[in-house]
Amino acid sequence: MKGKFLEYYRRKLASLRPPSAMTEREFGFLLFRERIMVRHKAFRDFKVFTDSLLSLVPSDVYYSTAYYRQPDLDMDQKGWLGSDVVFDVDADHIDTPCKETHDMWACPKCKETRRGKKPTKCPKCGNEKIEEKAWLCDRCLIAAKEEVLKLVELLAEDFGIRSEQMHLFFSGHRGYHLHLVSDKLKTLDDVQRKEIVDYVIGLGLDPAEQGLYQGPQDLFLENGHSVVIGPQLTDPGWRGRLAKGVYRIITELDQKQLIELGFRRGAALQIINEREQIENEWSKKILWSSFQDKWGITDQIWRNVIEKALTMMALPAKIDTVVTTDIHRLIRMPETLNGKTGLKAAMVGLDRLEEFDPFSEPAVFEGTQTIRVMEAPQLRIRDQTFGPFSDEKVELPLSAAVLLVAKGVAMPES
Amino acid sequence: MQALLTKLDLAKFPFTTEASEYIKSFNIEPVELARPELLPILERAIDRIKQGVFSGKISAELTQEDVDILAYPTALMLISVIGDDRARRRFALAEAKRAYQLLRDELPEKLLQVSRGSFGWDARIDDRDVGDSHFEFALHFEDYVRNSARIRDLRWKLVNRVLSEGYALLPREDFARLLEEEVQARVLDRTSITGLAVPPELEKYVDPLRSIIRARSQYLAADEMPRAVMAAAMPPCMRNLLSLLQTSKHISHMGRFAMAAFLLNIGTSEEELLKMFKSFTDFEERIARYQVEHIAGKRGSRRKYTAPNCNTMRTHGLCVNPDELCATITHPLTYYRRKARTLFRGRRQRNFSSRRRE
Ligand code: SF4
Ligand SMILES: [Zn+2]
Ligand SMILES: [Zn+2]
Repeated sequence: MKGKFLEYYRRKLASLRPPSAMTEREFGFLLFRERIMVRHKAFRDFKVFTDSLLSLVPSDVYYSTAYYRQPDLDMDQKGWLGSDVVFDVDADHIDTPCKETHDMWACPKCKETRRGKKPTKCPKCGNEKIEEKAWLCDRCLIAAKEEVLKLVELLAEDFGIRSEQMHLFFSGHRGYHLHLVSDKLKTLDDVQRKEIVDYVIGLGLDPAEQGLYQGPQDLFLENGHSVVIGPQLTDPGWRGRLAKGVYRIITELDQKQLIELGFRRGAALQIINEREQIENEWSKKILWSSFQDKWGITDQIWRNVIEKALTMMALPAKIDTVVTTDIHRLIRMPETLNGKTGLKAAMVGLDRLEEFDPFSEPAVFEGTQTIRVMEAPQLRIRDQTFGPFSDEKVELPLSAAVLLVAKGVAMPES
Repeated sequence: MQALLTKLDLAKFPFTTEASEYIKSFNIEPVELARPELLPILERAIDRIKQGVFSGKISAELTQEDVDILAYPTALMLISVIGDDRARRRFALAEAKRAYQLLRDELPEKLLQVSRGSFGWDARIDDRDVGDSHFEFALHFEDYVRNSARIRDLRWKLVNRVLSEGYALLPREDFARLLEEEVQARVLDRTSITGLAVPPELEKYVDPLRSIIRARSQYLAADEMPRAVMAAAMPPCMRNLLSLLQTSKHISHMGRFAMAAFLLNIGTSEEELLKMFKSFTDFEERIARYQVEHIAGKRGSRRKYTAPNCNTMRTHGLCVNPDELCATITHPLTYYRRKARTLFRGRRQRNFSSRRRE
């Protein structure tokens, strides 16, 4: 592996770019054999950096999102100057149904290995330290990509972040990293960054503050229902987003999903039948009160609907918020190889995010290699799929072979 | 359009950049403040501090513009040389509150001028209706979070604001409230160098002020329960847990939780608590730290835990040797506060009587 990495870096050295303000950043190299991280490195110029890269040939290259006066000193002496705001959107934090079929875990103590989500302790021996063997698959990466699209849209619309300030990278594994480069945001502290994260995941959102609330009881209405005041689709920020969420619930969910939210069977069916008319009406104006009265929406249903609208419109609450709030974080350097897969952490232009294929451009190795695979689900490189494998010897394109070896499920055959 | 600040505005908002320019033009040295013609400034400054520190409120009333304007930096100088941190914070808060009161009632143009000119905000007048809310201002979210993150109330969370293309839409009230945060931060910043020497000419005025401030601080500090009282006021259940801890005996999970929450509730710091845990048990530091931070509300649910009440303590077999005071309370914390108060009152009375005899 190390040899292949070296070969790649030699070949592609010219395409590697130094990060902005390189001299103010701390670098870290994770070493192949020793599995230790060499940290607190600083480089005066890019040549020195590439020299180190070629002599150490690390499995992973990291740099700090932070800028320091003296990046090579100990943490408390570095002199923090600021830090990019980075979002880590990873399939690890999204519940995709396919995980059950392709993720595995292994107990290092009794060697039990199974498919599915990692349990809190080994069902066989009770050991609590369990190794997760997360696989990367198309569906998971597509789910991550959808969240990235949502995030980019939200940052542009609500935060006014311009597209040239957003730098997006494939992580080389199960997700994407979005870096915001802005002098204004650079000096925000962790608490202030948390406010941005909470906005993005909708944490602490009070519907009443976003214009959705029960107004005073209308004395002239016989049924005694109170009036509902609510936001409209075109309202800015979370107001419009909340309205869109409810709109999507009413126009997109199937009967079973509506019933799960608390709607009676009949009401759910009726909503589905009257969809066209509702869409028509609502795209002009959402009539919240008549919505409530017509479908008999109780407080409990309201709560469920709002909750559902939030999860549809916000980023998953499980995204790694620490990456965004930690102002001393090391993050994978763009355009370097990921030691867990051998895939390149490729830069993804926002305008071509839709068509970006994490199994094409990032698969950088050329040639083939024969390996012995113990156990592995199916994988794809460009337009070819391979596997699943179970204890067999195969000749594969080098990128596929490196991925399986890096994942620890195969051994090179000489 | 730029609204210029009048001299009256400067008296209202002496913390602005315009005001400090104006103040500089007088070129007054601190020593000169004792001169009879400048004495009103010194007196007004002392008054400002007294109001701020003692009642927590500085009157928004204006007397004579130049005196009011110059009294502000003089007050900052005085509070710095007095060097009492508690008083300094209270004064900063009072100055900020005064500013808020005045700003709330100003025209939008003026608020905008103050926010941009003195604090560099990226803001504009927006006058927008969204639903049935009316917003007069738009403020860049970065300036918003810098100031709102300190305010605890949930409605100040960014997620509860209307954000549009990088700007938070705000009603005037809220815009002024955020400026209050800036004013407070500025006063704290301008008074952060403490322990400066008082010019001998001013001693006559500063010394009495210093001694009443010091007396107040001592009084308040005393109210915060001296450590010595702590041990003696512990309820029997906690005394039992502590002695188990000190003899390295096993304590149940609930017992550890109850003790940690109780100690945090009565003001023990996390560090102190960790030290106690570490020195008496074989707790792994990492785990102990995690537990302590969890209970203190820094992790997980981010909610501060309250020690369990007597009922719960009893259910878990943690209520040991209850005494007469126990019969009158339902919570170990109540036990502690009552007992501490009785012990403390006794002590303070003794102190006073001994002083009288001197
Ligand atoms: S009665 Fe309450 S305070 Fe007294 S020992 Fe029992 S638990 Fe503690
Ligand atoms: Zn096991
Ligand atoms: Zn998957």
